[in-house]
Amino acid sequence: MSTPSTDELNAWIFTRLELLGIDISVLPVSGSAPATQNGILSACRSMLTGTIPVVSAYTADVEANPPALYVAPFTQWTSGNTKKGS
Amino acid sequence: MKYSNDEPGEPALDRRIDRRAFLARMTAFTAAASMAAAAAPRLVRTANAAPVIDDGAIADEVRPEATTDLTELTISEAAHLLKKKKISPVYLVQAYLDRIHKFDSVYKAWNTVLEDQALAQAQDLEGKAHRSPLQGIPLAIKDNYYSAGVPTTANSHIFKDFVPDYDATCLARLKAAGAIVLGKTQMGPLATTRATTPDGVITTVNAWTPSAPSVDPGGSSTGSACAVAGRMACSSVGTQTGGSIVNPSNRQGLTGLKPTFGRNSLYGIIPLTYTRDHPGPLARDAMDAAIMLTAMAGPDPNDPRTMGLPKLPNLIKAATPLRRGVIRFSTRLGIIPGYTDGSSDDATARKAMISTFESLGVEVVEVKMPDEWDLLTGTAFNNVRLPERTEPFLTYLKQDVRLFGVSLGSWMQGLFMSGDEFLKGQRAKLILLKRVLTQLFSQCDAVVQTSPNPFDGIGLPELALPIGFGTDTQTGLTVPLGAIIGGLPYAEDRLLALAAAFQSVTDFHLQRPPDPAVSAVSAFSAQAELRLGEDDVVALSE
Repeated sequence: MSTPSTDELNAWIFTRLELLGIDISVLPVSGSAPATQNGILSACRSMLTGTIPVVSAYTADVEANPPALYVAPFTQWTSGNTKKGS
Repeated sequence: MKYSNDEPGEPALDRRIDRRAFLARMTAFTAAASMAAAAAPRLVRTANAAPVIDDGAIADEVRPEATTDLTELTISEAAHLLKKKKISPVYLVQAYLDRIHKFDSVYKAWNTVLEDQALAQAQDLEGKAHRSPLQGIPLAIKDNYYSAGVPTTANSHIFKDFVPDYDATCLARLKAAGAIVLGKTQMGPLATTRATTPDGVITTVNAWTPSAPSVDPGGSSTGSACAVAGRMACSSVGTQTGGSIVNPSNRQGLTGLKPTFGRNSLYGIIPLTYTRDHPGPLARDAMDAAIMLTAMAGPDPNDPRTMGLPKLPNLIKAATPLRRGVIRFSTRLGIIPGYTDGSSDDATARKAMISTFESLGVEVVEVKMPDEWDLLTGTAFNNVRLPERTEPFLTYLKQDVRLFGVSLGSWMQGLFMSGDEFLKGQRAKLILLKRVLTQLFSQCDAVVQTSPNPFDGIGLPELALPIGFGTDTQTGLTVPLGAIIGGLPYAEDRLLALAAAFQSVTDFHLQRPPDPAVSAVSAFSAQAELRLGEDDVVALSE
């Protein structure tokens, strides 16, 4: 498979935003405004091409490692220690 | 078959478990998690009885320089003078207000100063029995803590008109202990970066370099740090998602304590990343941090993540060395690879810190990092946090993306991680935590850190302490240097013991920045406005 082009990534980003009802056309395309369309597209492309492939490629033992949002409290909630603060 | 203790009519297990308390907590949590502007009613109010703080927190004596300038006092020292009625609460509050009037045009640490309210509260305490080391102590509160009747903006357009009708649990507990709120402090918009306006214009400076706003003052709890370092408050609270208690503490010569996740309630704090937001103190020394955390911590029915956790140990005792230069707990301090490499000011200060710890009886050990450390703590897995900020703010993204000002980028990035990737990130957090516990903490009891992010991601405690001074490479100005030490879950007592022992034989924590010269005011005013751009914010975002 070929790597998606910038235009293809932008099309995906705009499509996703339209599906969600998020409108970035209210932002200037570029320039020194606090947020710009080009800046947002760049940040989202970076997420898609930099972060997602790394996370997606990671393999984990799914039996031994259930997804846990709050891992530090999880150590206590699963410790069997009944002498807790509450 | 018949069982020896058979009783007729015994219900099945599903009817023997009392779920009423759980459901009440969940109902309250749902309300708490609703965004402020939705103005959801609170269904459960937290009873915030005054926290019990060990009287050992009150200093036996006060440094001479602190008796001539009350804004120099630590909490512990101020409590000594207040208890003995050598100063009055009004006198103490007024001393801080005077400095705010005089210098905050340079520091820009405050969003709101509650002058009348603070003085009235101090007046109410006049002549009353001294019941707590925090009674009458003037504090600075980060502007993402709900404060009843007081604007709570998080420096964001979204919350510019938000005035909560109740206090965040942590704030309520500090007030119940008698603390006086001087005001709300500047912060990075929605707690993302150093303090700026919603559109990115830099506000708060580093209190050590007021004439040079470009010098990094640390992360989003900048205003709280500057208020304490600039002696405009006796102590403060902030929040940390990606370093924003320990970084500003390191940059401005303070002792900051990011407790383990769940130690402090997040009820009534505007969320950034709900699995790794940590409220905690930015204080003058280890004892003050212990006092603040003792008041703030504990289970809160409004935040179920605080329930079922170990009791808070006596932090006051932990922050009291057995005697000067003798640490309370036998401790192995792990030094990570490369920590003292090179000849920079940081490396020199770190080497000296290690020597000092060795002289205190701390066993210093070089440690190996856990398997896949760089991968699991790197940018990609750190970014797994981003959908958490997007999800509760989706309504505002749909309403008008401009509400997010300069911070919009990372909220948009969170829309582009799928559910399976987010879940894999949650598995990876557990894997990382297991390896930290089994591989890293098998070698040591506490470990130095060069970045707060790994322990933020897995919710472990971190303490920042000042270890020296160096030269800012861009401006040539003198700035504080600090270290970060991480610990096991709920081991804040060991971190405080380490810091207290270190501070019993060093004086970096007692150094204060000089008052800004009048010329600094005009110099700052004359400078072109400094801004963070949207790319900066995406790169720096906590």
